[in-house]
Amino acid sequence: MNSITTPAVWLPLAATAPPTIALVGNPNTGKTTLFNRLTGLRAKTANFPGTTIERRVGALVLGGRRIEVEDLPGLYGLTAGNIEERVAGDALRGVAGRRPAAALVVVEATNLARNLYLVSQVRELDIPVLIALNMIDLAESEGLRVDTQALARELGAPVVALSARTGQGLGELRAALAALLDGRTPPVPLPKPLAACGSCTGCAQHSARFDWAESVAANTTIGTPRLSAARTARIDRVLTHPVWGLAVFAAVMASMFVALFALAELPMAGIEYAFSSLGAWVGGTLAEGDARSFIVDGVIGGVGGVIVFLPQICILFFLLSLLEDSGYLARAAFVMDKLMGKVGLPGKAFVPMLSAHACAIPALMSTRVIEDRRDRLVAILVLPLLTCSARLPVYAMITALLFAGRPLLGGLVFAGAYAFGIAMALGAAWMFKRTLLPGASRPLVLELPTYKVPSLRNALLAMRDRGGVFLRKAGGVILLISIALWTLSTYPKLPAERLAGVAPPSAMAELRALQAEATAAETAGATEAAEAASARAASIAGRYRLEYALAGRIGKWIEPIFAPLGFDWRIDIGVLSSFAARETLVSTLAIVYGVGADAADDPGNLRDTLRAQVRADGTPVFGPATAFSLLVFFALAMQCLPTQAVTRRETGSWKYAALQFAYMTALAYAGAFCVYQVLSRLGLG
Amino acid sequence: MTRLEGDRSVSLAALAEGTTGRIVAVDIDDSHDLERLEVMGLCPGRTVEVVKRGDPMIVRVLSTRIGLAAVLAERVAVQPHEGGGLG
Repeated sequence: MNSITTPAVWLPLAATAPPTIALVGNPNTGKTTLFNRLTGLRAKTANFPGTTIERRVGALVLGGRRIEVEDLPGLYGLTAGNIEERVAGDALRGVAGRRPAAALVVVEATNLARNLYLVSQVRELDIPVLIALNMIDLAESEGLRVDTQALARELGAPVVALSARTGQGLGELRAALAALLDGRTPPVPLPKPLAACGSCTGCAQHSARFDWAESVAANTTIGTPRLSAARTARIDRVLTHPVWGLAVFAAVMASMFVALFALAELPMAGIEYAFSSLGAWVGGTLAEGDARSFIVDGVIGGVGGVIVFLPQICILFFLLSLLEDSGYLARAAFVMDKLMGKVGLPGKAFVPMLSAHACAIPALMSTRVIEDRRDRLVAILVLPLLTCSARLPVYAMITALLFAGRPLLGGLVFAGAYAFGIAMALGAAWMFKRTLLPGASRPLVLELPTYKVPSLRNALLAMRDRGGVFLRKAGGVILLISIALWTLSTYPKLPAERLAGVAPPSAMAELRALQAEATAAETAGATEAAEAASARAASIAGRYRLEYALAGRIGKWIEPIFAPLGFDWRIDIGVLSSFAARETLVSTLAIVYGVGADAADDPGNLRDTLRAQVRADGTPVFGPATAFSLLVFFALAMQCLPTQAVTRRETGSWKYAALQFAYMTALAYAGAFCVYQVLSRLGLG
Repeated sequence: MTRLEGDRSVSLAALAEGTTGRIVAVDIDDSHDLERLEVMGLCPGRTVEVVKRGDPMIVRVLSTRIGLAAVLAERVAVQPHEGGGLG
């Protein structure tokens, strides 16, 4: 298994397809930093075929030749049973596609013995190997010296010392890569001691490999990295402490949360402004009609409503990348492991759970840190229960209805809603771990890397990368949903002459009065007053057009289903339309109650209109019972089709998306039912 | 404290903070968990140091700190080095 038998792969490849270099290495070796250094801004993220494991491919130009660099997942060995290691092993052996022309193995100069284990396994594959001895600057600053020539002899492969962080040694690496690909580096058979490792079997093989790795490390390095080890030990005494560790964790997460919302505020306002300006500009350019309505309300409005979350997603991944690079994220997983274990989730699940408070989509994407498939599926199923930003406009509207002018009570409702979301997510995880996906979480085995200064460059690239994935994964779905919703609320169209048949006489009288007012103002030259009157008339007509369209008919048709929750058919239209995106409820209610979609930006106007609504028996529609029922429904229901699409992508099947939808909708219905029935019986209807 | 093999071997979870020992056996049924330990160097023949006790605990092997759940540490049998004691 150790002989080099296929000389063909050592020869320069034909110029048809660019040769591929596979980048391999343990986690925390600076592999991503080196990848970013080599490929710059040209990297693309995709999945390995048939899996949900991410692969990043970038291009590198070496001596006028284009070379592809494939960043394999970080791993400790090629034999362990987890899917990342299988996928990486298959990629290196060329099982599912073309075999790479060479493997570039990144090893940490300060941690040679551990890293050489993987090297020994990669070295046994029939593929040229180049070793990038990374973090040489850190090693030297600690008085550690590595004899690269001796190391190259022991491994039978060229070794280049470098620092991916500073760029030192990168020129030599590129030269060595070019030499290897051109076949100028003669193949060296496996040195005997290394060849002997592979011949052992079972547990003895691990021991033989580690014995070899330790002896090679000892023979080629002088000194030990005492400084960084001592510093890491000192910091860990606090950060992994059962009390202080948790306190620091809480403080870090709280500041991250505050930063997330504070930093995203301005860009979010900018995006909202840009989309509404674009809508207004297009609205002013096109002639009134279906096409204008389609582009302004359907496409621009719908897409803008989701793109607005992009700043939060970018900032989240920027901060997470800094935390991960620094080494803190591993400590956070360490201190949280015991607590999360109580509901059957691993400590690493806190990252997606925190992210889900911004948006469930990046949270689902970040469940990749969870190693065990069952643990990961449970996390994916429960994440949308956490209070995402899209629920905030809905909560704001409801608290305004309930406690206008009493900010303390309103704040309490908000805090309660967050706590409710967390409790329900943990409870649901606990339940899934006892029923559908049984078993305790995978017990912790986690490297606690040496603390390092995080790389700003990596964080910026991670931010760009994740933002791009969000736009690509959610973008198409959002557009389709926006178009479908627009169609439902526009067709069939209410002919102008039939308006009187749909609207009650009082509304018709108001409409006629407004039209007269507009005409009078126009004649008098008061253009602004004329426009205001016309706009009010248009919003009243809009209300009946929506009632007449499919959305309104469906709302009336399903009214009996939601009646036990205290919802009337108008609220039902809002609930239906918000299945695409929750925040749509606010603008839809503004339309169904005839305030006009633009007036949704004026919370006072909408609030007063909603409060004035009465049922046939004279009781208010939005009493405390209905308002709280609506709050609970929106806290629990799976009302986000883009999230569902991402669930399907991340789990590889619609099965889990369907389960997620079914259990959350059932939970929302049951929760809202209980709240409404109890509160209305207490006389709070 | 679990005694797994030989007279002097003790479980890794029972070792005092700051002591080192040589791993003599790993007795874990789940093959995936076993492999996760093996690739980290928690397998027979390696020298391991207990950095911090508790659940999870911190151990050091091949000059790397590793967070380790107690349920796994209990199944790792260690021969303590001279002067090493139980916690």
